[in-house]
Amino acid sequence: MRLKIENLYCSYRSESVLKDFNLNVGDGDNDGEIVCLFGKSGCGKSTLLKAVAGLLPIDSGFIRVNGSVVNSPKVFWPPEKRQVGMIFQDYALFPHLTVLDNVAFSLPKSAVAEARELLQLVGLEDKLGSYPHELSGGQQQRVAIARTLAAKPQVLLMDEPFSNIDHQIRFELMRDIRQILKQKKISTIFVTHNKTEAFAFADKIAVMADGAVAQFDRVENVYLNPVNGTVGKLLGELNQFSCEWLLVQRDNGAVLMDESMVVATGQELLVRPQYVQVEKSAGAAAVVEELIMTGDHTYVRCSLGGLSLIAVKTVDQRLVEGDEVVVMILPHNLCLI
Amino acid sequence: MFAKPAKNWLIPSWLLALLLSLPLLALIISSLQPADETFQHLLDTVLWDYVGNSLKLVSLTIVFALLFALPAAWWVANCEFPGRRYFSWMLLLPLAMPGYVVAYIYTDFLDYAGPVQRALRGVFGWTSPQDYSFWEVRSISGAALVLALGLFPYIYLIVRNTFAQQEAQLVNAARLLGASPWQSFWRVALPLARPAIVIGVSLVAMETLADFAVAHYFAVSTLTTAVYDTWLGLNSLEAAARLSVFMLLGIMALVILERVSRRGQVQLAGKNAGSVLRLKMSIKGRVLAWLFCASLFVAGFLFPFVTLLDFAFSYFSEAWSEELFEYSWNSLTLSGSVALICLLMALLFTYNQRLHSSVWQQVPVKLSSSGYAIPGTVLAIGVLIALTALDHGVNRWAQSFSLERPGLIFSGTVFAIGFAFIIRFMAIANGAIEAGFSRLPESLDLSSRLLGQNAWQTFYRVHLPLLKMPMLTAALLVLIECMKELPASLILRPFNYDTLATYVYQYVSDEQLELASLGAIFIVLMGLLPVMVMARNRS
Repeated sequence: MRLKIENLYCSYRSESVLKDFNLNVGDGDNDGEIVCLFGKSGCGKSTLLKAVAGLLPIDSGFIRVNGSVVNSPKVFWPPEKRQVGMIFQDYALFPHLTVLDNVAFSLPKSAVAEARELLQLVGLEDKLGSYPHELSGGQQQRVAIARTLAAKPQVLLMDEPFSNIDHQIRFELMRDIRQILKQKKISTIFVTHNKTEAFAFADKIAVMADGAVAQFDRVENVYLNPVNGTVGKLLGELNQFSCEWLLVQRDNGAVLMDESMVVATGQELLVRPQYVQVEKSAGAAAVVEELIMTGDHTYVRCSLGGLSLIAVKTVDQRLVEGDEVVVMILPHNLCLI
Repeated sequence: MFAKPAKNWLIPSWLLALLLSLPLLALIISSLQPADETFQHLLDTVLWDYVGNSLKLVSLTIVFALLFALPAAWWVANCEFPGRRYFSWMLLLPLAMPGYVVAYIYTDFLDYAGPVQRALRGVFGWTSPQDYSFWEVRSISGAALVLALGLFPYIYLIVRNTFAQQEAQLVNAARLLGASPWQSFWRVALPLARPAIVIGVSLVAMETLADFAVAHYFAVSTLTTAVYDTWLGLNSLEAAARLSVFMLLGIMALVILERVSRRGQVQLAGKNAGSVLRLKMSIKGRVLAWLFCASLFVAGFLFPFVTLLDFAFSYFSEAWSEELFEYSWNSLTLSGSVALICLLMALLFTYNQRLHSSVWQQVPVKLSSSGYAIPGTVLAIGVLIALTALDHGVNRWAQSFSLERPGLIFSGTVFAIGFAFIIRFMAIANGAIEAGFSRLPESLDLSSRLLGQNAWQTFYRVHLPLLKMPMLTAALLVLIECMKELPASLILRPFNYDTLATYVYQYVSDEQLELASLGAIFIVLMGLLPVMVMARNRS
């Protein structure tokens, strides 16, 4: 295991931010695992990164890198000894050094060839002599990656690394960097509050709430089976209702659903809009209230039985506000809580 | 910034900062001793006159400086008239003129034997002072006028910037709501500039209270000249210390006033910057604005400077002397060493501050910067007390080991001036390096640390190369201020030692500035450098 965080408590400006935080990265043989730390701003994501890097004192708990305790109430390894790399939001390239010298910063003088190789890896072999200000944001990001890799970190921390990158090249850059991290087998924690970045870049997501991990699982599991509505809604639109309500609506004929879907009473149901469709039908109980166009698809918000439901509009459907619709729940593995 | 920062920067920082605050401590301790006869005598006779004179001088100077600065600031910031852009920086140049040089030149020009009164006598046929009355230059009002001519740019600069940037949109809004330019000035611009005005006024008041040379030259007895005379005339260090502490209280009040106003200023800064609708003025208005700014520039800089050039031209062979070179060399070596020491210490203090984020650890840099507000005479007395005690200690110690007594190795040598300069100008070096550091994002330090470099390596490989310009600025500014410094040098200079400033001042007191005019020109030219830096930074 590359990084193991146990029962970590940490405060920032005398306010406790991390409360019993636990996380394992690079579990088992899975070196090169990319974990996204996801949560609202102010939930403690950056505090955690700082604590792992040795930039913030901890109150209690343990941080282990490659099995060694690097930080506990009694142990403190300075940042330069931890073999932890970090990519900052502003990349923090040294403005007085060329691209090559930036990458070679942690290397002995004789290892320039290694720096060149790393720059080749990130696709910047023709920018060796340039200074950071002459590069685009994406190129600076690549230099930052190469520079960090040169120090051969056991764990890489990335603090909102893509937030300053143009939307057009963001996903291409993310794919390239992901490939490099996988190839070099670098376990990574990556912080973001942008869910599309989280989905595109990470293997696993740790959703943070109240200074602890609310859910830690593979990306698609967290998306489809959130532990509660709050976690689920952080990652996208979500319908939440009780099973009793659903049964009443099904029996009314307002909601159509496959018989095979077993619904137990006394539980809440979380359903993503992808599994909800509507069909125009005069006299039906649900009424379209709003159409929300997001570009990739159009959401339909309709009111039914005192609740507001979100569905996805099928491509060829024509709907306007006020239309009466029947709600259909498509067959899927139900997420009950 | 770091969870467990390096300790080895911490201890020297604290030690040096405490060392630099010793003279101030010595002053305070010394003034807590029971008063000696001299002080009692001063208290019974002239002390309250001195206080009264100081207050009069400060208030008059403020009034004059406001009268000069406010109209100029308003016109330059908000109106369009010929030469506006040139005046915007030309009105800063008077800051480079030493007050005593200006005082000398105007006295020369306006007193009984000067060209003005000679001409008046010629025109009206007067023959003796009894035939007419003419304003006495050597008076409190004269001193205030001379000081205001040199100090008004402090108010002008900060108020002009406030007018020009921060309230642009607000003044525009007032205009769009139907207020006339004059109304928008009184109802919006001026009230919003109040914190800026108070900052400028407190700076002028501090400089005036600290002024030694102009008051001394005009024989106006103020607290500052009293400190000087008590030590050099009455030989009482204790009484001088007591007077100094008295003055420090006044200075402290002004510092607090300035700080509080700056806080008010910050809230406005940065918001709503935009270009103001510059007023088109009537011909009369344009002529008035131009004449006003031009006269200020001429009176505060051009006329004294041209007069100096004239002196230098007429008396070149006398002014181009051995003395000039000897004292310039003295000044240059002394100031150069002080600048270097200040630079090294500033790097230590500010890097220590950067490493430690806790408030408690910011003390060294703050403590070491606190000397900037101490008037030169007061500081000199503090340094004298501290170093004399040190010398006595060293000599006693030497005696107890039956060694030869070394004499006054600290208080009686150039060391004393150097020590005073460091305390006085440490704030400038700290400020410049702090500003440089503040432009470097924290993430650079963190990156370097995470790339395996410790605090010292990070400093050497990342910060030093990136701080080249701030370091140069810091050293240069300290160097120049040291070369211009007068009162502390006058009090602390060893026997037979002069700096450029004391050399020029000596000739001023002997009514022979002509013979030291080249030295004065040198001082003015050096003084222009920081003014240029200031003009570039603030505009």
